[in-house]
Amino acid sequence: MTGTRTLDSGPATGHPSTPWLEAILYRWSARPRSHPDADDLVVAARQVGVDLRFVGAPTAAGPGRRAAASDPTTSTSAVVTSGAVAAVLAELWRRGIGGGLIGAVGRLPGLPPRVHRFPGGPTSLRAVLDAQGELRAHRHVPAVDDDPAWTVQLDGRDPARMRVEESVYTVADGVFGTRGTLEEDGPGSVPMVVAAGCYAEGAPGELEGTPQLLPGPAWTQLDLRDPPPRRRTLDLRTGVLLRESDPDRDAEVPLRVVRFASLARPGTCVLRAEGAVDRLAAGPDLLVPDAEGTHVRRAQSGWSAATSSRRAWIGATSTTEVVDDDAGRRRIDRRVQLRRGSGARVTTDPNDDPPRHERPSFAEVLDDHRAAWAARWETADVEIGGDPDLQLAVRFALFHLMGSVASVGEAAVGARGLTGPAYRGHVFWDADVFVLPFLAATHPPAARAMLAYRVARLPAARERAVVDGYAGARFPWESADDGTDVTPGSFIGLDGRRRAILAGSLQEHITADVAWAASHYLRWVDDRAFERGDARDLLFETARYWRSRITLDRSGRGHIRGVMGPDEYHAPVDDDVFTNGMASWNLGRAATFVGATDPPHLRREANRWRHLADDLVDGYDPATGRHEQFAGFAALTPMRIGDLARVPVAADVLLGPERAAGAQVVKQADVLMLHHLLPRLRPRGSLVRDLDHYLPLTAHGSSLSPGIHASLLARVGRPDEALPLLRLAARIDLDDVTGTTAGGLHLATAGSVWQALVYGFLGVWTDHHATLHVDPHLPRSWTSLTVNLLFRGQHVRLCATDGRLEVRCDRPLRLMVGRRFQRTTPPVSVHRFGTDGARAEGRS
Amino acid sequence: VTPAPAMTTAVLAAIPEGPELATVAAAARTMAELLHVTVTGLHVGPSDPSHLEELSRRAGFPVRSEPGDPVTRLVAAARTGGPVLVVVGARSSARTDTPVGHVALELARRTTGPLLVVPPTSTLGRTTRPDRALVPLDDDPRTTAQVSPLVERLEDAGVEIVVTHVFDPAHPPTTMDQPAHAQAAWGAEFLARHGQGTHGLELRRGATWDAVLRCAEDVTADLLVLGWSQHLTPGHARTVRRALDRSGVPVLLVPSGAPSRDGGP
Repeated sequence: MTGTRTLDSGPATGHPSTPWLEAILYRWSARPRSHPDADDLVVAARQVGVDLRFVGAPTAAGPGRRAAASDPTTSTSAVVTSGAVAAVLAELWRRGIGGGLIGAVGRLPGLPPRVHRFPGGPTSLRAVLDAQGELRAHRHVPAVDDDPAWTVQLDGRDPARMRVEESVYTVADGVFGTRGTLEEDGPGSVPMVVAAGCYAEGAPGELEGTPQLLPGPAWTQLDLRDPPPRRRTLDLRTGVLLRESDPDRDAEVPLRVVRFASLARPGTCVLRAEGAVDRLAAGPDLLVPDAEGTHVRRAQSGWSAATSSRRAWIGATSTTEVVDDDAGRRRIDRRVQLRRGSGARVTTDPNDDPPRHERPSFAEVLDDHRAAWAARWETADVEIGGDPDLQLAVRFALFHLMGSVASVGEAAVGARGLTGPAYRGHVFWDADVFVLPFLAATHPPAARAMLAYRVARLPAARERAVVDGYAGARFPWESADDGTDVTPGSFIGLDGRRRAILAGSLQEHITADVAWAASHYLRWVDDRAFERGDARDLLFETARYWRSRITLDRSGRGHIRGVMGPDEYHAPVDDDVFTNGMASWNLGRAATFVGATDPPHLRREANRWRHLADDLVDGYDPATGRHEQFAGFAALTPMRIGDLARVPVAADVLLGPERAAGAQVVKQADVLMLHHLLPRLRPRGSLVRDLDHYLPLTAHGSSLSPGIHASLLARVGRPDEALPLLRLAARIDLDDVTGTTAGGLHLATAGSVWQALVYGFLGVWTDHHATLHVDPHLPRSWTSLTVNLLFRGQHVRLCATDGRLEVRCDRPLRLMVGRRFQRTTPPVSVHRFGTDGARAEGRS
Repeated sequence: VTPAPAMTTAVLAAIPEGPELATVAAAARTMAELLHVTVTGLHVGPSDPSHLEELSRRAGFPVRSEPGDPVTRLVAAARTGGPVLVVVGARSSARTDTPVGHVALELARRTTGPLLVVPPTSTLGRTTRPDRALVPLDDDPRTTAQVSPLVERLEDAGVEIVVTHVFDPAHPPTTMDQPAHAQAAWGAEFLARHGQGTHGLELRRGATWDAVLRCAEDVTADLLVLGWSQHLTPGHARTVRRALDRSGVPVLLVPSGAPSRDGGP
């Protein structure tokens, strides 16, 4: 419901020099007589909405105890605690409040540089509180901590990059994603709200009508007169997008808009705007795309709208409150609740929303949201010392990885996540192999939700195998809602002729990739229920597929013929190293799930899997010490792609698909991808030889490629060589390297960035014995690399500096540094690395 | 015959003597009709009234004459009259292996406004009206801005605008993840940046000068619209040269506006 009311005005002029503070630290001395009554200060802080922290006072007898005790609801604002500065800052940090939103009154030791410092004592504290009160009297849109290590600020001056910025500025809660469209929208904009797993029928003729993401009701629109430039700040730390007009231009009544999609309450979206009455109006609460299957109606408590297809629906309810003051300022508060469902029938009811008076306030929703993001970062952040540009790019990648995957139910993670329409939300191996590892190691519920998506589509995979004449289950190369293959069958090539898309029928490695994801998850997560249930189904059914798919020659060697590996320039090929290697691993790994208590027929089947895994040709040539990517690859025309063009380059476009198919030019890691996923299975020493052989042949014509190569180069001890590739992957969307970021962000590339940092530069790997292997290799330009992980239920923080590895963990950890087992002593232990010449390559 | 008036917002047709007059005149009439402007002709040669009358009759619009060098006179007329479009025949011979003629080439190099070069094989205005125009764009916003005004007028006149972009060897895309999806995503953004309101995008690879003409055939374009810099020195404007030499449909050249360094009066 949109309503307007009028309030008394605050001060007519702003206070541009007063920083917006969420918390104030004050050193409480042991001389209470020198202070005003602490409880008064607490009350004052609470009225202002600032979190006041006294530092140095004993908790039991500290100041503010009466006020805090009298109002137990103030758990997240204006609460008084006592303790050391570091502890208070850490606690604030866990609530998503960084140094730029903190003020410190008096001399306090150990303050980070971004904290605002105010000299003086109690009088100064009172003045700071008063100033905050005055500020909040006319400003209602909170600030974000514009820490350059945590905020993305694109200047917004290039009109051509508008849609790129919309992707970059997407706010998502794991279930719903809202592109960073400007509030006034405008020509050229691609506004979009999407929900994971919600598809509509594709338009006929485009990509053969394969399903596409169903656009949901848009909720961010406002009517702005003379809108300010597109300059916005995305706070990666808290998932808040802030737009502010130029303070020099709008000094009197600046326009500010803040929006976020609550990570703590998926589906809840919040927008608050403030500005001059004559320049800011609410506009329609909800807008639905101009398409069939849309429903808008006025509900009891606001507006509701829904979009639907025969496959799914997305519904939204909203309320908008407009408050004007007599100084010509307007504040708009919009709260939106998004819902989704499968099937054509929209079953959401706006009247299910709780009454307005029962809903959490803006501040409460924001506090919970910040805290939720902070909790995610706690176990996921990666800190790179000495490379601020890369640091931000990495956090940007991790931010969108976290925002794109739900923590409950099942998660269909499309190639562009929840950030745009490109790739139609189709789920590729990108999800299983590139995205899932990050989540398994930082937020297992999301990884489990991704696996649940695959498990639920096992019946469809079984049907596909039957149709193809095989046993077990064959997963589709492109998947949407029902688990059937939605890969388009053909497209118009760059010669203007219709060409077949072979990936759908030939990229069979996806079946093993899904199994790998399940196994990988179990290396990081002690999930017995999954291990004993769904994981067995996935592993067994995929192994059965391979057993029926592999043909034996007269000598008893197994072959997989007529496939396409990750290197899509060559297809169909026989005995692709990656496909065979993954199939072999799949068979062997499935067999390990069969134990003595399993029925005899299953034990016999497992034995056959083991034998077949051993018999499958692996492309390894002992004479060269390398793998041949597929049978006959060495006979193709030799080519060093770097001599023809600067990589990355789409070599199939440069050369033409036929010439590329006849040449030793590789789209992306193929042999090397196998090294990446299965580092312990390859013959010792082959990684370096394969790397040296295939890297010059690789065009990186896939966005998945640079990160994986960076990982492998770092792993073999060539981190300086790896760094440019890592940088390329990390900035692929910020710099719109591919020219397609406007359609959404490259989620798998983001995953490859994390993998390069963790598996490559930090040399982390896990085995089936719950041992964490670490083997760092840092570039010369970095001073440190710190990674937070969740390893089998405990938070592990690894910090590598020059030859020194600091391990923080809650309980003893099975740790191997280089080739040596190390004893960890919680909470902190320090180890040396790089002194024993250990290399991850060929670890045993 | 009433002498043709000084031209403003008109199509100026360079009227030749030979059989190609009909082709040029038909194209000029059609373009004038599309652009809602008048059309006049200029014949460089003797000003015999009866001959002019005959030329005007054949052309279907008033033709005036001026003596002198054809290129000099046509360039001067094009510059002083301010026509929205100049129309000239590509060559006198209908043989397709004959390169574009001297007059057309010099006009292309020296006129500051749009120039339609009509090959002898053109059916524009004779048996067809321009249903579809192909507009190659190179991802440079300046090129887009250069051709946009004229393209918009054509589109307003009901001509279907098909944009093409050629990934030439010097500018290949960095990645092409899954070709069908990647091309769709790349193309959607390209159109959003360069070709809103058009009837689709044709992506091609290879040498631009070759791919553009092939694409024109693929999409059965009646008209080819090329923005260019008017530099005909070796290494420049290969697509324009190729189009002028080989295109079977009229080529509408839209110069960048700045006269070429060696193309002054």
